[in-house]
Amino acid sequence: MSILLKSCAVLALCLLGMSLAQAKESSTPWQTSYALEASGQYEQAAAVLVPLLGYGGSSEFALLRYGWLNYLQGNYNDSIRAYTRSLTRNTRSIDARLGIALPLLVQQRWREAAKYAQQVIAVSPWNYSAHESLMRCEEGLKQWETLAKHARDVSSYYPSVVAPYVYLARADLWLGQTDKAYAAYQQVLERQPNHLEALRYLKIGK
Amino acid sequence: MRKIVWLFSVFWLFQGTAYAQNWYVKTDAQTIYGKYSKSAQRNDMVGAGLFVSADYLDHGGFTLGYNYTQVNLKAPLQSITQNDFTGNIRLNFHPDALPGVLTMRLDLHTINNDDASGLTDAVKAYGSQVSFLNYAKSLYVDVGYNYSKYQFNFNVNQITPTLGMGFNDASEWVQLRAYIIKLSDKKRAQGKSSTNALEVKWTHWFAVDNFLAADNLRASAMLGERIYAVDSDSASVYNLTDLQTGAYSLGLEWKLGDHTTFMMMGGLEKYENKTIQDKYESRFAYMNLGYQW
Repeated sequence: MSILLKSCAVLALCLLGMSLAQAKESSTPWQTSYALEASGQYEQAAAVLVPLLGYGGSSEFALLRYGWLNYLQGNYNDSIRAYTRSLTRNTRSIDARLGIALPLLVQQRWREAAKYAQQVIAVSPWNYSAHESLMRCEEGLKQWETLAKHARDVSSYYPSVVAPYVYLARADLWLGQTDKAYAAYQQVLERQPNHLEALRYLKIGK
Repeated sequence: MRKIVWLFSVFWLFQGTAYAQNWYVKTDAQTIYGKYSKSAQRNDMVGAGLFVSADYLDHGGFTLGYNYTQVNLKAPLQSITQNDFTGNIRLNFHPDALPGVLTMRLDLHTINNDDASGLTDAVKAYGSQVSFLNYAKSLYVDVGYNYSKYQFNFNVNQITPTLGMGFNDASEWVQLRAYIIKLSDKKRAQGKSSTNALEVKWTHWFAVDNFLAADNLRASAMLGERIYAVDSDSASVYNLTDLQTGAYSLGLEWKLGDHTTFMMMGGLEKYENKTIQDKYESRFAYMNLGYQW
């Protein structure tokens, strides 16, 4: 009996191995790329997409993913180039514009990132990602009056989100409006009670 | 005058075109008054200038500037009127291998005045600078090289290595710049074939609710000696024939909204003319109004 069970187990393992091997052979570059990304192998995940980056039907999306995977690797200039190429394939792409803003923000190229965020806002007026990128640019450029007004507007459209209140508090603080900053940080703590910046300010700010 | 009109034309060109949204233009108007004390030859000086800077997004940009200066001398010497045109172009690079911005800059100054001796007239100064500022804005380094050409076969080579550091949650900035200057003719440079000086600048950004309502306080000191120096921060050429033996200044800057800055600065500069054994000082007041369009 035990010999029969062992034989069945060996057979089952062989069948499983064969089916996995077949699946690997028949997997698309997309599947492989996603699997490699999930395991943190961003360079390899990007490499399998290279043959798709030409002028084929899926090149626009391949470039978007290539841009994203290079962003994850810290290859910000390659990321910018890929997103820019994707944008030339589809000039209406909001995804490419939001994508290109990511490496630009890391490189503190506030004006360029703001330009792409504003282009998104022009066609999708309350796109949250675009507004968050733009608020980061306004903070980087120390445009405190603009940031305070902007963050207040965004927080009214997205009242449950923490980030606009954080930007609002920082801007009010720089503008010397400590009472408003205090109130904004209180709003932050209502949404995220362990927010370190708000806790630190409310502990020592008053 | 034509050059000033040209300066404004460039500015309005950018403001009025479709490219304007990608160009960030800043104008700075400045004025200075200096009163000399203990000087055998000099009474006072007044100056005014206008600078226009334009940056194309974060890629780089250029600056064009004009400074007018009048130095009033003691009789029977005649006053000197000077026109200084300056310009620079700069390019920013963001290589992934470096955690910051690399900037390359080229400068040009042309100075003309009615100095009867001609020793400080028709000056051309060419400058270059490579700088690096990290993203955390806690470290800055640059190396600058300037070549200045004066009339009657006299030229000046200047190297300025610079180190800047930010600390205390980015509320303090200290910058050290060495001025290593080689002079081609001792007789034109107070008997010096070279001079060395160290300039120390400290900037403190205030907490928002300070009683002066100021954005920052700046102090600077120059130790050592320098002559015919070119200051790349202020875009000025010290084409004076006298040896500068010290300089101290203190200034405050206010931010008036997102677009406007106003700065007031006062200071003292020490000079020496060895030929006539004249050690003198200049106390100055300086104002700058900046507007980001």
